[in-house]
Amino acid sequence: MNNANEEPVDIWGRLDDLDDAELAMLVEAAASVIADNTNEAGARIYLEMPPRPAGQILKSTLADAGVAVDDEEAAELVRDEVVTRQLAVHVLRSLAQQPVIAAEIEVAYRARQRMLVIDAGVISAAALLLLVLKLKRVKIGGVDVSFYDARQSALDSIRRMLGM
Amino acid sequence: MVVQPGLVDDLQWWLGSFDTTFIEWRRVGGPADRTRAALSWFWDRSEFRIIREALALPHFDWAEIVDCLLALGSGSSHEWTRELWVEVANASERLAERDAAAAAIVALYAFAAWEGALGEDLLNDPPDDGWYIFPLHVGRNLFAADAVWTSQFIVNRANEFLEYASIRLSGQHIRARSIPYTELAAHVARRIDEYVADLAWDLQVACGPEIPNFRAELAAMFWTLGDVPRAELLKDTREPVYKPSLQTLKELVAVSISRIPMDPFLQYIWLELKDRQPIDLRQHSALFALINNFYEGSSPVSLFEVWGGSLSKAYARILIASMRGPVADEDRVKLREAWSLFYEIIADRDPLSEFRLAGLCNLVLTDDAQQRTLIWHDLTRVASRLLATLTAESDFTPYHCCLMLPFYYLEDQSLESEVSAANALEHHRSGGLLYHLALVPPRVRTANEPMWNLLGEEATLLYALRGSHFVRLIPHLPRHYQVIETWGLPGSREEERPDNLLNDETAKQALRDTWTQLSDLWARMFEVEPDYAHRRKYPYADVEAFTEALTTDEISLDPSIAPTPP
Repeated sequence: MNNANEEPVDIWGRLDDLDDAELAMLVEAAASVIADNTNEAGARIYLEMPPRPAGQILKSTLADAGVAVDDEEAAELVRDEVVTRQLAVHVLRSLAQQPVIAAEIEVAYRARQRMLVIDAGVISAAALLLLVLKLKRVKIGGVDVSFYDARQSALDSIRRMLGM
Repeated sequence: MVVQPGLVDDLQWWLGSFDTTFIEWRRVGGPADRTRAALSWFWDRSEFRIIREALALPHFDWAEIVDCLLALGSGSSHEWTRELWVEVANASERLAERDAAAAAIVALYAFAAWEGALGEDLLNDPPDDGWYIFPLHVGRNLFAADAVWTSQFIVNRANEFLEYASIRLSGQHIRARSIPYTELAAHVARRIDEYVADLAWDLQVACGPEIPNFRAELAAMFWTLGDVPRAELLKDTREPVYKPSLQTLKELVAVSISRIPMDPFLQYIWLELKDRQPIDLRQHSALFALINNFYEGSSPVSLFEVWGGSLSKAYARILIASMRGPVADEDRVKLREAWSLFYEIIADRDPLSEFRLAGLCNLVLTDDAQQRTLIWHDLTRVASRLLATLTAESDFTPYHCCLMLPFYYLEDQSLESEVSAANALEHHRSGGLLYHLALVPPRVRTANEPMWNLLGEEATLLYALRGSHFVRLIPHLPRHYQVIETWGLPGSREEERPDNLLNDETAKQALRDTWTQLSDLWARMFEVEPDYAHRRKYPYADVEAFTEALTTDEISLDPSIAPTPP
């Protein structure tokens, strides 16, 4: 257990080593920060969207971005635990390149860590992925944060995973 | 009933009944070309030649596959060298990358051969090493093939056995080796939760005001489960329309999935969603297989399906129609016929179905408002009586919420009717607490020797009551309790244990006997200690007593004044 005086462990430096529960919590924190800081109405809907509808929206979003996937591949991107883990790490890594949003996500993550009860056992990369693909930017503390790099990183990972 | 250790028969039944890919195999005769190719590729491997030749593999016909599994499982096929079958089981997981359904069948052959070779020794202590290999490969491959229900079945069975073995043998090593099962069980449960959430999401979309929608169908489901307020909200189509939350709908789907096998009324409401807009129920294939299954003999009502006159279908359609608006005359006639038929053939053999059908009849067929209210009052008494009986028998099946149906309709336009409604509710509440009220005797104000003797008798009977209650609670307790009663006892056979106190039916009968004895005892107590006996016999408070307790200036710490036990 972390002591209150201990230096918090660098979460961004050990993305690959996070266990499933930690990664799930970080993904959930990142998705919430993005959904809470956008003017896009209805962005929060992605946070509670289950895999099947998320897969259907992902399929059409990817098609708009020039990545054609079939139903089975879209389902794999949102359901397969190995795939969702890889995707989540890629997207988080590109978000970590932007200090403003990285700091905000880290604060949200630490707050969740302090909660006694939190159900974050499942890595729900679909919500994070859809937010990054659908939104161009968010505004955090008056600073514009663009998702251009994160979006490209996510698309590149998906192409690699699907052997495109 | 003889407890058979074999699982192969159960496995093939689960596969062919509940998991879409294999239901399709059973329906069309066998696997698709891709799976056939994968099976051929696998059995062509030279290291498995002996098995291939002995069993004439691969099989492409469902009946042939099942026959071979059953033969291997019964031990009548002797193509057994443990090492070779372990190799087959291990190789099956690599086959899963090519075709998961083929891998599942290959793992099942290995499982059946292992089970057949062990025979009666399958459940012996310490667990055979195969417990950590064969069922695990079957479970993993079935999960990969999206056969979640059969995967869950085998994983739970293996987990139960190993968990109980670890308790029997105080074996930390058994617990440690069972971890892959616990992990797999979590994956399966998570996948099922996802499927439930997927369907709940679609149902929420289907609750909008746009036509077509499933508002009336969902209202009928809530009504059947006893949640009349939500049904009424869904009936109302004025803007802005009420939409249940995603969480509420997830609970509706989850409760439905657990109840459908024993509740044809609920099942047939779900079936009314089949092949209709706005959602395609078949696309939710894992849940659709459960919804669409025929549960023969699961309830007395299901007998009607065999006779071709579907009572459940009539119930579902007329209830849904009543949630849309006034019911057509033709449907009213059908409902009258259904009620007569039900009463003639089933009546009180299925009290919960009878109760809901009576409620629907009152809702649809009783035109006079005053008469309708009187019937709702009658039904509250029936509900409380049913609940008290179910509580007395320690029936924990979570379907008793449907007994709340008539309480919604109690009139509250006068003080008299409010008091009457409150008393009805209190009667119902006490009925649900019957067991717990009986367990805590009130204070005896005066005592004499005959009363002490009677109290001693009462204590003995309450002890017996607690024991039988616990046995009936077992299926609802964590898994390691459940194996006490089910098939985990090594070599246990019900026929060898006629006095088996852990038997559910024995416990049910024991509860009935004990309640009768308690009732007789309390009757005898009237002569010695009438006040005490009265509290035992009539544990219900009424509005008058409650009001008096609320308005009194005195605060008493006398426990006999606190919530009055019987």
